[in-house]
Amino acid sequence: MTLFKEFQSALKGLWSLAVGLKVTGREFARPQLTVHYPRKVVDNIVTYRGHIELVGKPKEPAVPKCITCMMCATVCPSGCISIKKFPPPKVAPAAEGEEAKPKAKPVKTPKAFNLNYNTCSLCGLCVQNCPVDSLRFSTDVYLAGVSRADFEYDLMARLAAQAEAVAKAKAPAEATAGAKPGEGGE
Amino acid sequence: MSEIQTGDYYTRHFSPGPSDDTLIINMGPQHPSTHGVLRIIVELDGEYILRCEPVLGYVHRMHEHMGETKSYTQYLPNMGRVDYLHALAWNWAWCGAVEKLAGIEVPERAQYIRVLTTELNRISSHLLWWGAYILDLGAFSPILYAFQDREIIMDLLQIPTGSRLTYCYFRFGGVSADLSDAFLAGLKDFVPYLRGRLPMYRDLVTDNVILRKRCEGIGHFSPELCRRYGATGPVARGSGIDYDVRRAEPYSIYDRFDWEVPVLEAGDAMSRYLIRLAEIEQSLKIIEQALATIPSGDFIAKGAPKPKWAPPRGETYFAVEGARGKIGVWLVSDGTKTPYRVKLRAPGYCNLSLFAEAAQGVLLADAVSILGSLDLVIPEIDR
Amino acid sequence: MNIATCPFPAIAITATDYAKCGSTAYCYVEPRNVVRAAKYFFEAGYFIEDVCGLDLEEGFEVVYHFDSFTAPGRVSLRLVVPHDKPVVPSIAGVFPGAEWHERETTDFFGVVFEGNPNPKPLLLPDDMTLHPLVKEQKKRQPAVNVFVVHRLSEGKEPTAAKKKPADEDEEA
Ligand code: SF4
Ligand code: SF4
Repeated sequence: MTLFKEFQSALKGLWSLAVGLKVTGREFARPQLTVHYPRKVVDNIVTYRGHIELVGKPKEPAVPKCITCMMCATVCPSGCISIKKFPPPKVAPAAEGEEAKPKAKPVKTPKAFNLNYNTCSLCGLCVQNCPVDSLRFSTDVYLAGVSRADFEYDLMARLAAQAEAVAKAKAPAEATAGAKPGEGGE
Repeated sequence: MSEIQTGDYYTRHFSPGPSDDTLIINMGPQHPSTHGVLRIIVELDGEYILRCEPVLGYVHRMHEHMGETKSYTQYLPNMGRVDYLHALAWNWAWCGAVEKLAGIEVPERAQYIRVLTTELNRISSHLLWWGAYILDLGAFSPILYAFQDREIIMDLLQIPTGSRLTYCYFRFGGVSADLSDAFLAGLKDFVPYLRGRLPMYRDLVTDNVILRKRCEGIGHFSPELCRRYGATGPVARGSGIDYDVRRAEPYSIYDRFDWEVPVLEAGDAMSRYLIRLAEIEQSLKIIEQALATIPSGDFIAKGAPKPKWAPPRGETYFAVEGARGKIGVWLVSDGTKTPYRVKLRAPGYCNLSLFAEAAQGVLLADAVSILGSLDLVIPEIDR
Repeated sequence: MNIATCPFPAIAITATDYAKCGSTAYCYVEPRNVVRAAKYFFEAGYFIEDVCGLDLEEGFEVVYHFDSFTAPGRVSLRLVVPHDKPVVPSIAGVFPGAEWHERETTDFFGVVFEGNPNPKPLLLPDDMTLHPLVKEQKKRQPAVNVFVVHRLSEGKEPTAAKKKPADEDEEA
């Protein structure tokens, strides 16, 4: 009787292996799921939130909307944002006789805006708390570097480069649009 | 300790046993079955474990001290790093504790968003555990199947959270972004898809005779053992303890859904395995119902705290059910912008503490199976 | 639970609002009675949730959280030990799960748990002498500044649950 039971359980075990092999066989015939990087890349990067970058003003894309309120630098848990303000305008000493010049407006845009991406925890608190929406996430995901300095970004330079690239891409488009006036600007 | 220390950990702390014939070996901190950097000193008599002692702290980062130096908001990203597999449950534990302390109301839609994303995250955590556990037991290919499904979850969760692993999505009074239509549509398709995959998991692995032989009757934990060590989650439920924080200490809107707490009496590694697979099904059930009833509205409360906000003084304890068990946050506030004390109760820590007792007298190979069935995430244990 | 019917010697028991602070009762004991208290909780079917430390002006407060698998209701068992002699009897003989929690508290606060079967550093390195969660004297807050007791409105609870135990312990 026990011998019979042994056989039965051995057969059952063997059958479970056959069932498993059937699954393997079925999957074997399926098309490949992985993507051959770098010849191909995945297509869902748009929703990825990479390191932060500055947003330019709609009229002047090379100038950030930022008003150097320092909110992002204060709220950042990792302390990876460093912003340099322009010095406040010097009030020229009222020269004799002349009427005092109208006070120059303080420059609100940052002089420098640096991000140390090495320590960023991608929490999104800076983007969420910026009062003028001057920050957004980039979708840079294919990042590689040989030293830490490679991940210390000058975001002002990045914005300027982006604006230039956009302008360049626009220029030929405008040249063709110029032939048909009336359809140009939006 | 000022005196110069000689010898290694064993000679200092693990005094020689009663017999000369025993062999002391190290499992870890680089052993693949210890899932990261857990080290276990094992004293063997032949193939049998006489006693063992886990050595922790290799990835200890003192999260509790960081809690006392950062502001309430700034502590949020830490939560995703405590347990990277079920980051959203930790997000929830921290946000929930602060909300409870300050009496912040969470809008209806945000509650649903939290349930949807946390349950989805729980499934992805269980899937990874499933693959890794089978890998511990020596089968390589199942983890690839698990990753195929987990990939879809990560793509989905990437839409609202923007990240793929260490989510920092919840905020006090809600979440940081609304769910998009793409996410909701993707989730709607995902529920029947994963349901269709589960029988494949059963055919491929659960019914497999080799897995059965390595799990059934191995690592028996009695309910009493779980109680003495404070084990929770699938470990306790696999030992016949009907305990789930989502039902025992109801928080948020879990009481609105129709779902069950799977419980098995056997208490062996197989029952912990089956519990987790059953929990995937229950999570799918919750997601399905939440998807059908999700209301429109705000995803974050109108008066949600600003970054420099300080809660009233007082203390509170808030617990949620993570993939590994009860996650607790004990928060003491003195009314300033930084917490006075944050205590994180990690479920894996309590679950692992019973291992030394449970592993006495088992085969070394079975100890690997028991360790795997505990579902260890070392950063969570070390904090 | 009530101080009159309490089966172990307690200094004060306060029924608290579960919805606000997550515990149904705070139960203060003297350090030497903690094992008896733990035995009571063990026999009453509770499981140990965690053991936490807290650095206050009055001393180190050690908080044991017990919860039950069947009936919800966390009880927090508390005691205060002075900064210069932080010694508490270990409850690892009752709840073996407390062993790791106690070692963690020793790591972080330097509170010594007498009778712990394995009193070695657990999370911190062996040769570390610093206790990271001990606060500087000027940053320490008195208990009255951090605890707001959400008492249950019904029933009569003992008053002055907060300050009392600390004072008594410092005199002792
Ligand atoms: S929060 Fe926005 S506006 Fe303020 S400094 Fe940062 S980027 Fe500039
Ligand atoms: S995402 Fe978070 S960590 Fe990164 S720069 Fe912004 S606030 Fe700092």
